Amino acid sequence: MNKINIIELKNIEKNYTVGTEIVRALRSVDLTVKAGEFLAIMGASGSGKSTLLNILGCLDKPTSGDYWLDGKNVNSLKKNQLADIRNTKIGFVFQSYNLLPRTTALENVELPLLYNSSISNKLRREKAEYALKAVGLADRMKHLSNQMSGGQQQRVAIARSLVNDPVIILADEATGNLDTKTSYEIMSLFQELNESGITIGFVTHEPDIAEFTKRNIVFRDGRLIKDVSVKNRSSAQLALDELKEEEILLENVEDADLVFAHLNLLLKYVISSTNVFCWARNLQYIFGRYLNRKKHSLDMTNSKFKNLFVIRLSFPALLGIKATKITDFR
Amino acid sequence: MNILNLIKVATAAIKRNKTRSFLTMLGIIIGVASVIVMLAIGEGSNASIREQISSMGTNLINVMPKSERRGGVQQGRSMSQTLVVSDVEYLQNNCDLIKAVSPEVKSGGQVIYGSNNWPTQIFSGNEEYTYIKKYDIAEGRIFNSQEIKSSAKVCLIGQTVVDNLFGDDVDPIGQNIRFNKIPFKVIGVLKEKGDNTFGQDQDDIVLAPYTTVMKRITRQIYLQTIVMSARSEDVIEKASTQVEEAMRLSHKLKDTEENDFEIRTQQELISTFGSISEMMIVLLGSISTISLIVGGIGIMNIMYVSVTERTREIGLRLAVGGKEKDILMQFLLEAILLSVIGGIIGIVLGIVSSQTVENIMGWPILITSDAILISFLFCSFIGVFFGWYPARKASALDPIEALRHE
Repeated sequence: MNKINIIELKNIEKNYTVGTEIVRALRSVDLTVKAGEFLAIMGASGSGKSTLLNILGCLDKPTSGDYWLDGKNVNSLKKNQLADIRNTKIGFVFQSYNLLPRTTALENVELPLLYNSSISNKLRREKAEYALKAVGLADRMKHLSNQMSGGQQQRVAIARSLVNDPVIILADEATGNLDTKTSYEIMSLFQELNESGITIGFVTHEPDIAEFTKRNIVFRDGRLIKDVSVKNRSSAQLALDELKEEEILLENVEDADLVFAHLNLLLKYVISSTNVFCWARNLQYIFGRYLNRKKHSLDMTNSKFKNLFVIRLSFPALLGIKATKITDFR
Repeated sequence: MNILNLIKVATAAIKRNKTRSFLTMLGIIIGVASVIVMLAIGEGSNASIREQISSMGTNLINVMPKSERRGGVQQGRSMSQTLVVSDVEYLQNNCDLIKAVSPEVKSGGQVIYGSNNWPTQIFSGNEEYTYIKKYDIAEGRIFNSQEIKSSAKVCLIGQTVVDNLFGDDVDPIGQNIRFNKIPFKVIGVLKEKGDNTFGQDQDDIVLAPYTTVMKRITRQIYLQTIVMSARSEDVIEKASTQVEEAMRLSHKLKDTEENDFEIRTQQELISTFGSISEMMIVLLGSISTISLIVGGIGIMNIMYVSVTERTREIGLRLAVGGKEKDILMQFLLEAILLSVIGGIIGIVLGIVSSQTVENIMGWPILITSDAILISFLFCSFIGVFFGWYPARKASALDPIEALRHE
């Protein structure tokens, strides 16, 4: 396939001077992103991923190196020209949504187009409405931003990033402030948008979120150390469905039904699941927890613990997603 | 961003924080309202002083004898004896800028009718006296030249005298009254005029031919004042010079000699009293200007806080393609809108409270369009001046830093 390069970075360096010390935030980074990619930029904090995002988003200029965005070298551009590039070629999604408070969803989405004088009032309204429909908020256009849930606010922010038909959407920890379920919803939306041909750059430090993208690049100390395409990409929609099932179960299970529910699901998954290893690890985890509780002579009938028991044995598939979380318990 | 969108964005930002916007405007509202009220009071009193002074006469010019020193003692004006009836005739014949001239002689005394009596002043002049001094005749007539020539004992009386001498059922016209034992026949009643600027009752007057008063009451050939009307308000000053020259000729003064008379015009009187109220206007105006400036500083203060508070919003605007200029204009426009809206509210409030002052305190009020225009322009200026610095600060923010701001 011969797709155009949306982003082409050649030997990008970025140095900051903090006091008398020079911090090398990015060291000779080369990166090419083609149209239609879904890229996760990963790394610990201070690894340079945010710096890279700022440079990609034309908010910052590299100390040296070349950057072509949509075939145009942006190194030589002045402040105002960069503002125009941001206005027409890039969509931003932030961790904390950054919506205007006490302003309707529609007006928030219209914002980038206000700064583009070639777009008429009518077209602006149409585009904003279209973008909001695309993120599934057709019925909430007139709602004020502060009357919305976090997930809805992030949807509005995504609509805002879409509204100017950008060549790439750059998201900075877009799921960082959201709970697991909403995170999956947002990732599902991103996947959907990506399927429709939109290029997305996604900064995250959560590996399970990165699993939903197509390509992961990892930074450490300003260097790009790993660039892998994701095999067996998880579907956020599927993960979401499972999560919902889990939730429904948690709500409905009574203490007395526990054993039946457990056996039922156990049977179902033992038969259907190919991932027996995962299941075994779940068993081991719960056993660990059991011993731990016994050691500290804690109440064994604690319903939370019981539910955990059910979930862990019933949904071995979840383990793949929650691998990091399990290590947290140890 | 075009200007229409900018205005939309700025008004949206103001609407988003209604309480804060109102509090910000409050300084300007109070400032403008106080400017309007102060100027209205100042201008009102100024206008009423002018009106009162001009009610004292029609384009009035007075010639008075110069007070003299005798052996080092300054004498009162009435002691000087330099003005005579021939001066009046000379002025009548030689000053084309003067419309009417009359001698004036006055004296105090007791006026008696039947069993009533009343202390008053007798004024005297020729048949043009009422025109010059802006007296209207309510009933009857003024004495004619025949009566002046013959020193007829006729008089007109003011309303205060009428009230004190005659009962309600008596028609004063044709009655005989006595002033200092000299009988006068009342031939007319003067229309009520009220107090003058100095608080004198202008209706407490008996008006008789000057010949009669000079012969029977003051027993002098000298006049106390020569009163006259200039042809129009514009020529008062020229007329006054003409009168001065004519008087010097009439008195046959040599070039080296000083004037033995003094000329007072109404305009001088107005400017004397005018300067007092001008001073008052300046004083009141400057106090309220200070409050306007304080209001402006209030706007700057709030805008400054608002920039800090809205750092993320600014960062977002920069990130989605806002240019420095757009941010600067937005915040500047917000400040201007705040002060202009505040100004308009202030003007309305000022007009309303001026009317209230007029109704409650009874002070004369004059709201000039100048005052409104000036305070409005001043508000806009304050908006630009005090809005500039916070707007500058907002536009200079680094988008990355601004987005990260907590």
